[in-house]
Amino acid sequence: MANKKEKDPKIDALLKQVLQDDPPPETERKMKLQFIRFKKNIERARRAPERTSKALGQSLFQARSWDWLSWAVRKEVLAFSSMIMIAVGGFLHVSGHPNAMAETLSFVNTSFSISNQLREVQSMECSLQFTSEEGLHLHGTIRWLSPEIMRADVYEGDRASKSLWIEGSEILVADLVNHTNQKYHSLEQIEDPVFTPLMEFLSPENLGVAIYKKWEPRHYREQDKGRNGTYVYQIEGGKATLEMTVDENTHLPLSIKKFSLPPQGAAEAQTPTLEAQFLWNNLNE
Amino acid sequence: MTPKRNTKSLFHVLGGIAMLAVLIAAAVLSGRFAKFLDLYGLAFVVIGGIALILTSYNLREIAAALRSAGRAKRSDSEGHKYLIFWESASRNFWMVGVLATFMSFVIALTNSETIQGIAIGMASSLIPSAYGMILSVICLVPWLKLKETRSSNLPEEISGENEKTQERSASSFSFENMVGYVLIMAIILWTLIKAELSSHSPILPIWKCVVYWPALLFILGGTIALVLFVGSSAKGRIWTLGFAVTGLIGSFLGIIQALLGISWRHIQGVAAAVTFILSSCFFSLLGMMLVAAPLEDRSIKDSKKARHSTLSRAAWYVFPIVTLILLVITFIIVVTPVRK
Repeated sequence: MANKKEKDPKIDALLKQVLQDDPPPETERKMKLQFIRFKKNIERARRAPERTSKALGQSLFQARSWDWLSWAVRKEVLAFSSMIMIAVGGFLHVSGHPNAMAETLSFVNTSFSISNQLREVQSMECSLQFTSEEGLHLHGTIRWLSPEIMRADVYEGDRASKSLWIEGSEILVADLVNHTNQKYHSLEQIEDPVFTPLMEFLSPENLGVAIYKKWEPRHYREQDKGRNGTYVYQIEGGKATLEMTVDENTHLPLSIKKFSLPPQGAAEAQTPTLEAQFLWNNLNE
Repeated sequence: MTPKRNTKSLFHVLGGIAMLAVLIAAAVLSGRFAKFLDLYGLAFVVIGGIALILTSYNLREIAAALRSAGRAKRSDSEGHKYLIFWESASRNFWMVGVLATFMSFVIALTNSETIQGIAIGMASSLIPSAYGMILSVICLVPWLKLKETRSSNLPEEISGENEKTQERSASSFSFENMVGYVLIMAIILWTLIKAELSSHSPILPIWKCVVYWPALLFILGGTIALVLFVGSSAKGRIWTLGFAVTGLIGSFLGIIQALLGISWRHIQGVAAAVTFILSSCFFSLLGMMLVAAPLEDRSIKDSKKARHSTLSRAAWYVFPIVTLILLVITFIIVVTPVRK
């Protein structure tokens, strides 16, 4: 490379013109190299495009600016990538890649099924064990006697202490200990905290809404099949974790266990704050 | 064109717009069509359609085409360009309408407060498609007028010119094209963010529903493979076919899986299949709108003879219909209890 540069005739002539006497060969060689470098720098600066923001912006829309990416669009690379993509996509799908959409569809379908079934139910008996807001462990029963009539009892020990009747649009709360009655026109008016955990079970509509929305289900997965023709749903909600056992023939819930969310850093709570066992008239037929 | 005639045609256009506005106002004020009113859906379709036009054309071309609509009956040497423009606009509004329906459908599925809300939301999500269809038909009016003029003046000019399309390369990417892409991406992202913000307790983040990686990989890989196999990758025509065919194959595979799931009473299998179908349709539609259609438009818009290929037209109009049908099937699957 250096030899080639040293034979530049223009530089030779220029040197001879400038230097009347012959300099030492080593000095002449070094001077030539300096001149060649100088000339190259001037030419490069002349050829280089103007580096303004406008020129840079325009270059973004020119195909040659993206030539450095040409390796990525080579046919071999693209063919290989496309095959890999199809194979990975197919494999992920077939191997049951977890997907929120599929979980949602599955859960919404199950909710629809339960909701539809609840509408068909004529009567039901449900026994509940729950912890009241004061921290008392109570138990109660809820009976849907007909689509219009419902009764809920809360027990302290073996004796029913409070009772709630719904007949059409009339709601009656009876305190069986103090022998007092109170009438209401809507469930929202009832202020007695003892009935709060029971509200979601008082009608098929309430139960349907609670399963789908009120318990704020965010993650749900169907567990392995349970015993005696049932399947179990694990529902991680915003307020609580639920475990719902559903009858696979009737699509009605057989039991619901509600666990309060453990405080951050604490181990998972194992004792349910509410446990409901259902007995549907449809199942007895 | 004389000034008198120009004024007359301007009055024609303004009169038509005023009449349409009065009809729409009457329909809205009557209150009987409240169920068919979806302002956000309408905004999505209008802005999305305009954004897609920008991905293919620059402002000068758009302005010229709009002027041509007012004087469509006049024979024009540039008429062919305008013909292509109005056909593209019609296609864009139709496809954006279906995309809006798709997104509304998924939002309804994930954000509704009640089970009944899901059903109502899913049914209402078809409204933006109706808007897209109406705007598409409006854009077809100047196209039909131009076509009529051209066929009477130039009977043999544009016949059998599909081959010409293949010989041309796409014109360079302009600033307006970039604005179009930014606008369409912005409105899609804003719709997702809005859905996320508007719901107090969404049952899951919507973006998790829209992006299903296996479907994305399948559609992308399949389309690239098809384009490489056919060759001529610079033409949008091949990309259009690639996305449409791969989307249809993905949907078909999904349908088979869904039917098997129903037969085996396996709701998880059905749900996975439906997800694959929906995602395949979504990514194919997006690919056709953002990649294929602009490439094909840019490759033929400067030509005096070339036109959109018949296969591309079929893909643009038929694939969204298939997507709508599959959405309806999804709706039916979701609300029909699958007994174990």
